[in-house]
Amino acid sequence: MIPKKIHLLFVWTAVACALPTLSAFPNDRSSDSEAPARYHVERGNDYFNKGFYEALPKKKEDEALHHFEQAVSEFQKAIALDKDSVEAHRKLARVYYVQKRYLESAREYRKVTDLMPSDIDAYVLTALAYTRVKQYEQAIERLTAAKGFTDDKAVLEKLDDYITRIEQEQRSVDEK
Amino acid sequence: MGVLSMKPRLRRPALLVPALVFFNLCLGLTPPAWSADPHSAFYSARNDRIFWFIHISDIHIGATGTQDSDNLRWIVNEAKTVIDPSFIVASGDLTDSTNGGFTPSGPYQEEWDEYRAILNPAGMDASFYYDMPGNHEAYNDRFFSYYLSNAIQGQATGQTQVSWTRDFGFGKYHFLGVNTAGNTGDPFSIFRPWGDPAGLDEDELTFIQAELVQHQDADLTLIFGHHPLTDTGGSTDTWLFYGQEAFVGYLDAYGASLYGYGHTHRFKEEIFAGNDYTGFMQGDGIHYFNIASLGKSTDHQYSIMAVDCNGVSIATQNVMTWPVVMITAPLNKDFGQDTNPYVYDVPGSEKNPLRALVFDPNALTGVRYRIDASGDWHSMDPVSGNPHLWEAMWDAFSLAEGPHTIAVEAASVSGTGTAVIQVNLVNATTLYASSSGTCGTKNPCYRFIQDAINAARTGAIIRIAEGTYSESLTLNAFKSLTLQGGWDTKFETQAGATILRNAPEVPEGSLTLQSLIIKPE
Repeated sequence: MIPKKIHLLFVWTAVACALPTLSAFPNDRSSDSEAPARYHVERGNDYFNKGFYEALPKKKEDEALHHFEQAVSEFQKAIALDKDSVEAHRKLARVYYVQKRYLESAREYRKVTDLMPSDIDAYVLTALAYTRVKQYEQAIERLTAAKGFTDDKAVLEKLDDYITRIEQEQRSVDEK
Repeated sequence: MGVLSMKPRLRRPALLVPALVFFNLCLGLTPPAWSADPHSAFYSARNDRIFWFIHISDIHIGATGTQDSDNLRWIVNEAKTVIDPSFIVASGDLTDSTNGGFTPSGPYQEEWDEYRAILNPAGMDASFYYDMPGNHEAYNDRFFSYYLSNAIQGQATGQTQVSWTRDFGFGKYHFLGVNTAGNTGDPFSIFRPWGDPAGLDEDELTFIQAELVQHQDADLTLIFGHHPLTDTGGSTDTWLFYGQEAFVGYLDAYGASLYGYGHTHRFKEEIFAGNDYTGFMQGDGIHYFNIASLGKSTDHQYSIMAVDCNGVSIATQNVMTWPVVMITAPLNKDFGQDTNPYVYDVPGSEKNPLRALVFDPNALTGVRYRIDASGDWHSMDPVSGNPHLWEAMWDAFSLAEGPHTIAVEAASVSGTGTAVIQVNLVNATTLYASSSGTCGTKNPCYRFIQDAINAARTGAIIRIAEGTYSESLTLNAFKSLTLQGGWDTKFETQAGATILRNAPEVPEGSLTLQSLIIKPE
């Protein structure tokens, strides 16, 4: 027989433990305005993961698209709460990229590099997004800008290699 | 395929093996025969103990250009038809994860769709095509969702590692495809290690160990993965960053013959016996084979691996080039720049077997061989029942002991293909025969008494391990030999019984029998 006070303590502990789980559930109806940006980033991640890792490889494109739109919404909410959230911008850029919304992706990756100028990989992804829509000059400009933030010889060589490849692709497109 | 769950990772596999045997004994289980042994290769006139398969890697479907798709399509169609392999192994980087871009940013379903659009019409299925993930399948995908949904093996097994066997009647052979790609889902990075934290975690090692335990009764074990085991010296390479000690320990403890990998896009074959980073092996090491990239390299794009009387041979080729020639018996004493520790010496016999696989979509106009560069060319004959295998008996009687070269050349309207190997010729006065295929430290060792009779020069003694032999023995050459039975398996004492089911026939020459019982069933 468990004493009543201890029984209540168990119940209270169980409820307290369950609360964070409930709040992390995508259908949670807690107030967006009160939630921290981090919370929306996590919700956005959940939606993105469902769309990108569960739906898309199984060719459930409509379902994936639905999840991506929800992910976009969540990341935008996070940014509305914290416009300097590097993670939110990066994640939003990624969702836009997999949706093939390349210019919006490039815009978000640029925000990442604005907030974190030493993030060379983000410059590369910005350039990649630009090349997808054949904005080669913008892509090369981003990679050239990246070179100013590293003195790693191997990385500089790789950036130059990327620039060369983009220039080749640009010439190929121009010739057509 | 079995998975042993909840087995703790053991970093000292050398101690693990006897521990497992003891555990089995405690459970009343009989431990399986401990026979996976690269030393079991034997030189024999038997031409029906051979199989072969294709190894490819780094296909990179989705890379810029069409080489990736064109070459994979050629492998699973023309090469598969002409070479007729037992199966195909693809050791990672199946897709490029770039979708034509200049840097990996996937996974891309489009690349996987293209991959399957090539494989499906060619009839590739999970019983024939063994594909495993590489780092390009791991970028941005820590759970390998795209591999599991789209790769032939991933889709069929729901796992990222695969284990399979082939039983040809003359032996059982075990194969493992391991997932050396990291499990973090890191994106590609321009900084080292380029989003590629390769390694084998506890779950992966547990699977590997369990499969090795389950198939200890295999004659040979051959293992494939994407990454090198250790630093290659290449400035842009990655290798196993964790789990390497346990894995190399398993290769050693369970007698693996070969670790085949890709990743570097370079071709190299060597013998690896461990180092400070992986731990040193107690055995003689493994064939450590690096195939170049099918989708991106310009040469050494695929290999054919053959097992002939338990000897492993490898021919590395460029796509769309015929004929392909590979010598499978005798074994090449060289493996890259290293000496193959599992090779046997060849005897100074008048009739030494020579076998070569020849593949060509067109009819061959001739297959011939010669011994040493100064030797004459002699024709080879097709083996009945095996349209790809050619054989001959070469005369080594008058050759000096030491190294010699054997070349085989095949010609057709496709062109001319040549294979060259090195052998070491030894004129032994005492030869050994044991049905186990191993004779302790004694050499030369033959699995079949008849092969020892064929190999022996006049005056030689053939010592035979205890046991019962059902061979039909014939001496049909002008030489005098002694067959001596009753030897233990290490050939140290002669107190056992050797029983021959059939009395030897001697149309020519003379045969002296000692300590042998002739007892038909």
